This record gives sequence, structure tokens and C-alpha cells, in this order.
Amino acid sequence: HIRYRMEASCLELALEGERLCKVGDYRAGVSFFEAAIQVGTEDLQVLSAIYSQLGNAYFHLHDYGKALEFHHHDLTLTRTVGDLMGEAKASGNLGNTLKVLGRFDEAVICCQRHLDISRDIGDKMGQARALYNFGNVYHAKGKSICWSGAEPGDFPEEVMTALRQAAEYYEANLAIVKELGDRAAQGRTYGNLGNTHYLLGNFRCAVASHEQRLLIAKEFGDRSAERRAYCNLGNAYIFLGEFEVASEHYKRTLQLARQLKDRAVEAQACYSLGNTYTLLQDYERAIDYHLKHLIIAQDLNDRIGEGRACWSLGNAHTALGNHDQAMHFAEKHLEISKETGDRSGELTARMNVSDLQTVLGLSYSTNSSTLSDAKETDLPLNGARPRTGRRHSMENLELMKLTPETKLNG
Amino acid sequence: LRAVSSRVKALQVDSVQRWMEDLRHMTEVECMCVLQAKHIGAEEEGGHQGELIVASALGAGGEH
Repeated sequence: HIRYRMEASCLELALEGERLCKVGDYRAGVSFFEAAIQVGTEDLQVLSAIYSQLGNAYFHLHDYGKALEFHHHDLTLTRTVGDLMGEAKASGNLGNTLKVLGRFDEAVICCQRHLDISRDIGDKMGQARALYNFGNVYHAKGKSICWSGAEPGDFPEEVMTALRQAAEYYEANLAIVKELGDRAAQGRTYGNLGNTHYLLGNFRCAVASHEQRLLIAKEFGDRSAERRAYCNLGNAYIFLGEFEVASEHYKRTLQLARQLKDRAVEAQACYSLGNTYTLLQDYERAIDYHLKHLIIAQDLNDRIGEGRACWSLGNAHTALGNHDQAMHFAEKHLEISKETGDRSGELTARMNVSDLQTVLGLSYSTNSSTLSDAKETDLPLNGARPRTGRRHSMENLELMKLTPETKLNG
Repeated sequence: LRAVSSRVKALQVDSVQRWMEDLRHMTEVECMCVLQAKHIGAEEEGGHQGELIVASALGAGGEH
């Protein structure tokens, strides 16, 4: 029968597309889904699934415009046929896509729809998911405003409002996932809640959440989640002024980064430890960790990280009175700052070099461009400088990797 | 926080101050995007009801 054969071929194409996406070949999966749509089907459940999977495949491929298009098709279709469960899912997926595109207000509307339907049909898990999505939308909204150059520790009220809303939704999600006994979901939420509190400046609350996150990561033997928790804990303890405790957490971060063979994260942990030991005024240890950071930065060809390491090493050696060593690193810092176009780093380095010259009482025969406008200063030599210019760049973020794809626990 | 900042300022290490300014924005994120799947076949997968975890590329604001 012709009709039957046509239906089968659409279904076959779609099933092949699904199989390909399952094994992570989204490009090929997309081709099969597109072909299935070309063939067409009268089974609207199948069509909805195709739209939805296409949207997700495009999301994985970072083609968010296309993802939006297909999740929107899915939403329209499910509404037309009155498929509430399907509409809830489509709303959630659409909300996630809008969030990634930075269209937060529209994302909120989708999350609300997802939540309302889930409540109406008594779907607890759906409610939990909608609340989690909600939290993520507000969290992302807050962060996106933060990134646009707020003064540190002085976020605009708009940011604080969004972050507070995120915290409320995460708390509401937690209540449900605890009730459902879903530990993996609890872990994720605790982590995000901890980060939200951290950004809000509620460092004690952040610690409490990340402690829970750590516990659950250990339960699942999820070492990369464990590493994230230790790192977040270390950061929170820095702002609580508990540098000794912070150093312990950073050490665990470092151990796990090494076990996981993640060099960039290892470098970041060494850099954090170097700075923490500087705060503890243990300059020998600080130097040890900054050197470790320097070596990895060089291995990874991370010039910005290398510049940071040299700056830190120059300061630590200055603090110890090793002026020759300090000079070596200050000059390297200067060279790298110029190379990377870091104006404020360059100014800082120039002044450090010139101070050190004064101390060493040497007249360096450097090329004139290096020291042409470096002024003699009478400032005490303590490795410190008034800020000569603010930068809001987040260049050292290049050191940090995005959180790798989280595996489902369990 | 103010107390900590002033302690750092007292130490007068500009490189540490700069690190702390960046640190204030830094978070190691969990997965920020959970998509849900609809299956073509009738067989729903057990366990996570077709939950797809997606490591967020952009939505997390490239956070750490």
C-alpha cells in the first residue's frame, strides 16, 4: 500500500536520525530528520518528536537560531493538537534556547508555561525541571549583566534582583527533588544555588550549598563535580577571609585536576594557591605554586597566564627581598604585557622594573623604548602600586575551561 | 568582605588584588541547560524520562 510505505519511510528516516543523535552524530542526525520532514507524516506525535529532536540536535550543534525555529514548531503543533505533556516539554526546550540567546524575558514566559502545565497535570518531575530551568534563566540573566563590566563586589541592583530570584527557584526545585529522592538533581541544584549565593556575596550560604554538592559528588564518585565543588568552596573561603581553609580546598582541587589530567584547571588551581599563600604571607610557598602555574601556562602557550605568573612571581620575590629574581620576572612581565596588548599590565611592569632598578642601583642598558617614560619614584618598594588604570577584561578566564559535559549521575 | 579587601590592600600586593577582582565573578558551573527529548519510537526510556544534559556553551556566560 502506497500510503503505508510512505509512512514507513518517514518513520525509518526519523528513527535513523534518532539513532545518529544518540551516538552523538548530530550533523548526520539532522540530515535524516530533515529528510523525514520532507517525506511528511500524518502521525502528529511522530512529527512533534521529529521537531523536538531536531531542535535539540541543532542546540547541540550550537545553531541556536535553528534550535529556536524547531522548538517553536513543536510548541505550535502540540498546542494545536492539545497535547499538554508535549507542550510542557516544548516550552521547556524553547525556554532553554531563548535563555542561551540572551532573550531572558521570553524565556521566563516559557518556563512559566512549563511550570503551569506540570502543576495542572500533577507532574512533579516536570515541575522540578521547570523550576530548575527558571533558576538557570535568572542566574544567566544576572551573570550576563555582571559580565558587562560591573565593579567587583558592587553589582547593580538589577543583577542582585535576578540572582535572588534564581536562588528562590533553586530552593523551590530543591524541595521537590528532595521529596522525589533524586540525588543527582539535588547535586546540580546545590551547585548552582551555591554559585548564586556566591555572586550575591552570601559566602556562608555558598559554603553550605557547595558542601552539600560535594557530598553528593562523592556519593556518585563524580570526580569532576567534586573538583568543581572544592574550587567553589576555596573561592568562597577567600572572601570569608579564611585563607588557610581556602588553601586546603584548593589543594584538593589541584589533586583532582591532576587525577583528571586537566592541565588548564591544574594551572588555575596553582595560581589560586600561589595567591592564597601570598595572602598568608608565606612567600616561599607562593613562589612554588606560581612557578608551577608558570610552567603549565608555558606548556599550554597561554601568554596571558604566563604574564600573570611573572607579575605574581616578581611581587613574591620582591617581598622576600630577592631583587635580582624579582627583576627577571618584572622584565618578563613587561615583555609579555606589551606582546598581549595589556596596557595596565605594561604600566605596572614598567614601574616595577624602574623601582627594582633603583633598588639594585644598576643602570640597565635596556632598549630605550622599554624605559623611555618610566619615572623614578620614591615609593617604598613593597611590590605594590596604586592602580594605574582599570580593566574589566576577563582575560584570565581563557585559562579556565567550560565545565565539561556533565554526565548523568547514576 | 570589606575587612578582607582592606587586609589585602594592607598587604599591598596588586597582583593578588587583581586576582580577587576576577575571582569575585568566577564560578564553576553545573550544567545550565537540561533539554527534554521526545522519542520517535513508542518505547520511552526509563530512568531519566528522556532528559538530555547539555553542557551550556553560551548560556552560562562562559563561566568557570
